[in-house]
Amino acid sequence: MARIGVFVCWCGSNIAGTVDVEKVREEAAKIPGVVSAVDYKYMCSDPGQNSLRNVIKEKNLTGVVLAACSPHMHENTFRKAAVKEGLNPYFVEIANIREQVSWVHEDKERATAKAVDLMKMMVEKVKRDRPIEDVRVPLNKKALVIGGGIAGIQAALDIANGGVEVILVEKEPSIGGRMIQLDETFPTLDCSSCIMTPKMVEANQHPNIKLYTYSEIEDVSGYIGNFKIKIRKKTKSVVEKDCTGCGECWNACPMHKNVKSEFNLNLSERTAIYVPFPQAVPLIPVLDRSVCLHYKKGGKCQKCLDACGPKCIDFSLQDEIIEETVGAIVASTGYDLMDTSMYGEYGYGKFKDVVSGLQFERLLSASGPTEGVIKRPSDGKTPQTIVFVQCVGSRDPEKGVPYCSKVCCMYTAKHAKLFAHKVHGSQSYVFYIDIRSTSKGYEEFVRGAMEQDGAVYLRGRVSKIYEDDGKLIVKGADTLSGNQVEIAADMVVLATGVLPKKGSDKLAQMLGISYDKYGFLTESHPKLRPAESSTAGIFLAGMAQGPRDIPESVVSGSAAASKILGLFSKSEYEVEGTIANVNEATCVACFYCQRVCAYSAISRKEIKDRSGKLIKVVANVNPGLCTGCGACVNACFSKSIDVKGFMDDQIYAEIKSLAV
Amino acid sequence: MKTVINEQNRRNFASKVESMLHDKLAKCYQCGKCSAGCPVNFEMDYTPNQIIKMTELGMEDRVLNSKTIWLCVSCNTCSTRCPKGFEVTGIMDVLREIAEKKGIASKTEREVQMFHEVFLDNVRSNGRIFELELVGKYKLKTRHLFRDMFLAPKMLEKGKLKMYGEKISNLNQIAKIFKDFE
Amino acid sequence: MKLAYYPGCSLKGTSFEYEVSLLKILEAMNIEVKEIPDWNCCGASAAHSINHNLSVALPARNLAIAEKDGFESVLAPCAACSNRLKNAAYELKNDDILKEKITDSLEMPYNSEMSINNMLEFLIGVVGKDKIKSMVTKPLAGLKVASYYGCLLVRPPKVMQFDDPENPVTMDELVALTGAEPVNYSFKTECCGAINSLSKPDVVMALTGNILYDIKKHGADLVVVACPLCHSNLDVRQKEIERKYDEKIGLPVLFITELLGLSFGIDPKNLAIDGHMVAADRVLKKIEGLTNQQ
Repeated sequence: MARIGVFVCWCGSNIAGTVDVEKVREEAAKIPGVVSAVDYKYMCSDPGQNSLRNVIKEKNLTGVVLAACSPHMHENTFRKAAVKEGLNPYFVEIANIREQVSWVHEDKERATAKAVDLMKMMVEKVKRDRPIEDVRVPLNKKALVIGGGIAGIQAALDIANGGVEVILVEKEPSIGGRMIQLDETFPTLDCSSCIMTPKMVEANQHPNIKLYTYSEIEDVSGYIGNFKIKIRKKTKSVVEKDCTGCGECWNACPMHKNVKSEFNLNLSERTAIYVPFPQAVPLIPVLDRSVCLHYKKGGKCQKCLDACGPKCIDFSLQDEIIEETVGAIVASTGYDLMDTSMYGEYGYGKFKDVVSGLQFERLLSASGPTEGVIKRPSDGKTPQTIVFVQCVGSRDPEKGVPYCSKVCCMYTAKHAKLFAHKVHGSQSYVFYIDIRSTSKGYEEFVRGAMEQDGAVYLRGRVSKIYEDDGKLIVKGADTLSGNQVEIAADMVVLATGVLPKKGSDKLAQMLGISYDKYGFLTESHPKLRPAESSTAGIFLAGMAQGPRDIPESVVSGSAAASKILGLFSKSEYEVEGTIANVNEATCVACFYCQRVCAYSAISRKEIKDRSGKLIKVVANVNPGLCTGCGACVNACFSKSIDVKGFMDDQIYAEIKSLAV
Repeated sequence: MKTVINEQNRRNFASKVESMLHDKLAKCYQCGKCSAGCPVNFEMDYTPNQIIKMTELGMEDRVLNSKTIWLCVSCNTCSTRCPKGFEVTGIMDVLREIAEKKGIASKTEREVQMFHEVFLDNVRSNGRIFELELVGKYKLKTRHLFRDMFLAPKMLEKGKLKMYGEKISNLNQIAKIFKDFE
Repeated sequence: MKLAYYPGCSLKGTSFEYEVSLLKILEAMNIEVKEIPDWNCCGASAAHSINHNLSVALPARNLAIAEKDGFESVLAPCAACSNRLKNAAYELKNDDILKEKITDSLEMPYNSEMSINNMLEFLIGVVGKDKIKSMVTKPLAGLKVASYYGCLLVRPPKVMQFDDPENPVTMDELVALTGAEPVNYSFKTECCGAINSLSKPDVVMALTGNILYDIKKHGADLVVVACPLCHSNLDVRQKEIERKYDEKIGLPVLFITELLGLSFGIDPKNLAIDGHMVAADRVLKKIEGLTNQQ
């Protein structure tokens, strides 16, 4: 015989202001099987929870209904309290009379009637609850980090320092990502290389980190605790263990001056066998077969091999596929810049001295193509006047994207400062719409660009840039003075907006995690679960999630790492028991369920007799992947699937309770 | 300058403009790219982005009496480059049309306004433009009898000025169009 | 395909050279177009400036007549006319209420299917580059030609659906077909001020002057246009601009059809090139010299 307790929460005036809580309690008391009905100001408070426990004990309850706030809020709180009194946690049901009643209705009488209905439904449901055990999934305590930029490196180091093995996979020949392309960083102006290189070296030398550069994820399957990964390690045509990084090979390569350097954003050239930059980690060259003369001319050229001391260049090496099993994954795939040539009016790509912000970083950088001396690409002269244009591609739904790229205001102020420091007597002009400088020291930094370093800020966008007598004429507006302005500049720097890394949407599909319409990876909850993806065991970090700066990327890398270390601190991973359950006796193996499952949780299971003969094939639910969403239940023709805790008889009873 | 905003008037004017424009004034975030590229900005009393904001704020009198709306040459540079896809050129058309319907004669740019009026009169009576008649009537109205007159002899010599205009045969239909839409 | 021809008022008046040369080259290429019967003025800039509905209704009458006569495609060589016709077609397609009002007033149906071509679209898209190339018998090699597009051909891009609004190339491609060298310069799509030519001559001279001096600086022998309004500002007002800014320009302004005609070997007189205010004699002589060398 059911012995149900109903607890009606006031939530101060949040619920009691709109719902007649006493009436709800009175109605509850009338329901057969309800042996106790109480109302209280704050059920979630310590005294509230104690009264819950006391009633369970005294009345020997078999089930509990809380008419209170959303289960997202306090279901766990009340379950824990019930477990302490020996009740199965799934015998606690919540009637949400706050978010679904008091917060969305005004008429007290009708709101109260709805609250009573919701409470009644839950009473009928709890009467039919069966005990459910949580599912335990074993954990492979090894993590995969995809992307070796600052966020990925930070995550890898934190996890590795926590004593857990990490596999760090990077697509490019070197780790370091975008940050290592930068010159000095805002707002402290520390040199990016100086603070980044030690981290790169540490990641490379860490005993717990296995680094695969020039490698890509080929396939991902499995679930939290047990992901099976295939990594394509593209061949570098170099036997890595023998290579000393001496540089003889790239010095000998005849293809110098012919291939644009990706790292320097086409501002310089590289050879066919190359390291992207001198501080590359690992310092092992890769051979770009698409341009190498050895492959183009039938094996004739082997100048690099001739020059190589340890003879570690091998033209016959092939890509390798490496298989790994990990318990958790961090996706930190970073960002790309928008293609600014879509702005015909700005002439990017047509005028050599119109460059992107990241190109300007390379022109500022001591390791860049001009060794840190600012020289304009067209004629190598040092510019005296530079115009900076903000929001190029950002905040532009017509040609670019509607969002703000967040870092441009700050890096433009930094560019103006560094330009002033490097070229005395020079002048920078910055066209902006709004200035976003909201972190510690940022506003002061921007003010400093104007007040100390003399940058002139104009509030407005630029309409057109054209060449005239060796100058770039910039036609803009200053909306504060209400004027059209024209500035003759030696160079123009466009603060190009950011996009998620090309191909990150494909990776997300492979990982089974969600991403937004731009391709940024989406968080499980934008505020409260910012490090988690939509899939258990996969975490996010860095710009792959959206525009953010270096400190935020570092924080997000650490956050993902701490989530993984927390996950791995237990021996097994507990999954809520409310998952799909197949009745193997009635399943007809049509596998409609498999087609609708968004989490790839359903597989084919063969049932065999003792002699090993196949009797039948049925659907099988992987508890590690199932989220209990119920899509399969609806798709099942033979009514062979139920989600535990949401059985058909419970749902019918809930509906029936509404019939008057 | 100080403007006291009357909420009702502001809404009335802004929503009237929006409904004729088929666009939302709130879309404009005042980046100023329209004003930056406007070829005739140098003659205007208010920049295009100011006109948009003033319209949103309901400054009807100032907007409808501005030089800007008549100086706009409808070159569409602003709308083409607008990051928000706002109908900047379109709002100038709408404001001119409102001014015209209200019978507001521009104090400073009456000649521009008058040209449009004379032009349409010419279409109304011929169905096509008879250039000599158009120029003649325009000159009479504006009393700039001798402006550009030095061009006339050579244009005549080159055959550019036809002495007779063509009229279309179905003038009734043109009359009906004007009646229905004016 | 039956091709309708909408000349517009300018081609029957101040820009008669455009029509003469256009018809001449079409004849040379054996392409037949038929004038829309009893066509009316498109309303030009005046209509859209002060009466939106009229700016749709006036061109709509021409489109409806063309449709009734079984045409699917209209050639509107005047950039302003093609702009207004395209605008009207766009409005009729996207504003059902206005369309109903207009077809009621016209007492004629309209299906919104008419394809409207400006001069350049017609030459590249309908006639085709191969055909034009095959017609060139007097290549203009050595001649430097600046193509001036102005506003109306390319803007607003949403409605015009023609070329790149910031860096158009179609006219330059046609110039290249004649054997002449296209000249790059900065103000290909800057506005000449056309709409206010009569009412604000000072403003128009400032805008047009900018364009002409820029073309001059980039070393062009002549300018080609595909718009009577651009032509009238660049050609008719050129002397005045020279006086105002006290600097010689001396750039003949030809319609693209005239340049093509010259490369086809058509006598300049038959192309009405002597109808321009800025004499093209020097350029014609240069062409004569160039072709004699070949």
